[in-house]
Amino acid sequence: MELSATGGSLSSHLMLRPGDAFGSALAGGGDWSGDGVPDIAVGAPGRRAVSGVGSGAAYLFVLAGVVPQGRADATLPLGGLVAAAAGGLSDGDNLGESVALIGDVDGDGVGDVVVGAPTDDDGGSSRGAIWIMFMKAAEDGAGACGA
Amino acid sequence: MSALNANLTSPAVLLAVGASRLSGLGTILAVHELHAHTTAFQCNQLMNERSIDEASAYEIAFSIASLVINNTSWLAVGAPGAPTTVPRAADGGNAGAVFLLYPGTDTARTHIGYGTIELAPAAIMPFNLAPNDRFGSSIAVLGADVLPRLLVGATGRGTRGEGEIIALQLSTVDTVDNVTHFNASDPLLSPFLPSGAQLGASVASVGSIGVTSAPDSLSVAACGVPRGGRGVQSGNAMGIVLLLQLRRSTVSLAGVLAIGDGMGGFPSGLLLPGDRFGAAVATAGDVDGDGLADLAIGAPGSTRGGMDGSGAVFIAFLSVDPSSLPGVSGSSMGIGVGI
Repeated sequence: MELSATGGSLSSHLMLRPGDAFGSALAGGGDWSGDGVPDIAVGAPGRRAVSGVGSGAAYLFVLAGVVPQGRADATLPLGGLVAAAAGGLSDGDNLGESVALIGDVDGDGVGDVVVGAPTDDDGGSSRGAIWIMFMKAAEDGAGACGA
Repeated sequence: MSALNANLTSPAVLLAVGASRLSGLGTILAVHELHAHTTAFQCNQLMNERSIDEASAYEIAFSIASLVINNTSWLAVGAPGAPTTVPRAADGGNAGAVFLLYPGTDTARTHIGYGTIELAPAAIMPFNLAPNDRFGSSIAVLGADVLPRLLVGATGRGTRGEGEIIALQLSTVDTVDNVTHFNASDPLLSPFLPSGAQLGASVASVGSIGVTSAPDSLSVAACGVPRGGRGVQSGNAMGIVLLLQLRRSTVSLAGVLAIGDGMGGFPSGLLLPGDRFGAAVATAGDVDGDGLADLAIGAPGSTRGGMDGSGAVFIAFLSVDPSSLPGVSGSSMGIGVGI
């Protein structure tokens, strides 16, 4: 099973671009959709806007299993939301160089995600930063992360 | 040691997510950022001694793994750019370090508190790091003991920069013993590790697949070598993933199965030089529903649809192969791989 610009029906959810470096980091085992098929988080630290400016990105993919053919059914982008937060990302931070599932940190019953931006320059060149993404269940009650 | 709960750079941020494609999927409730330059990291005595405010490109969060110690969730965070000394010597960069972040006491859960323990000084680790070792390039947790064993990648170690995986058994939360090094000096690994191979770029614990009948309760770790391959003289950047069969008691190497273009069940022709197959590996859970965990492998340099370096992720479906796929040097891993 391949997830890429041409594999796994990924292009219907996410249009990869040259230099995205999609697949630089991976974390699996969570099941945010609650369908019994584990989902995965994928880092793309080279992700840039069409303008060429960007800070990287990470995504959660809901996998639909392998029958009849493995595919990604939905995508949740994480990077754009980080950029919107206070003290957010800047060009070249490489968010998505690392990603890990950290269990239910905030106690809401849904597994959370941590994403690294190792070349974040706040406070000094390439000091690095850690972003913790607090996930919550979708309004339709879709299942909690199993991580 | 103090927690970081009062020192985060940003408070909890509520974010609205309106994209329609999120239906049926979790949404983000809030985002926290932990910055290395804040007083947060310095509140720990170890970090005060280390003085992370010194001008160094630590590259904190180059790798991250979660682990459980004493029924509490911790984070292990790799910083492969950390220097060997403070202040940094002229040639002392990129030795690397791993920080263990432990939870603080904030019960309101509007913040997350963390203290830090650094795995790098010789006083903690019974071996020395050298400039450009890049210790902390990857991290995985092996086993579920009270004090877990960490597998840490150091892509720059080795006389030819082949890279290394180092198994560290914590004897206390800030003391390491029983260190095991996996590198090109092992005849099971050397055929796959040309100069600059970058063993240790990624590592993941796969569990005990295919080894249940082994006498020493073996465990399997997946190690990415994104510039490695069999029979190449120097890193060709096509990449390979090595499944290491480890004896659990001694964490010694019992066998190796190589997964790469045309190897270990992976089809031929899907990979090209420059793909960096194995730059990331992770257990993907049981995607195909056969009761066994599968393996996700990243190839961030892959070109698909004419887009150079757009990247790709492969899900390798692992199975117990009755015919026992042969490993190297006569070892048998008993693992089947399908894509």
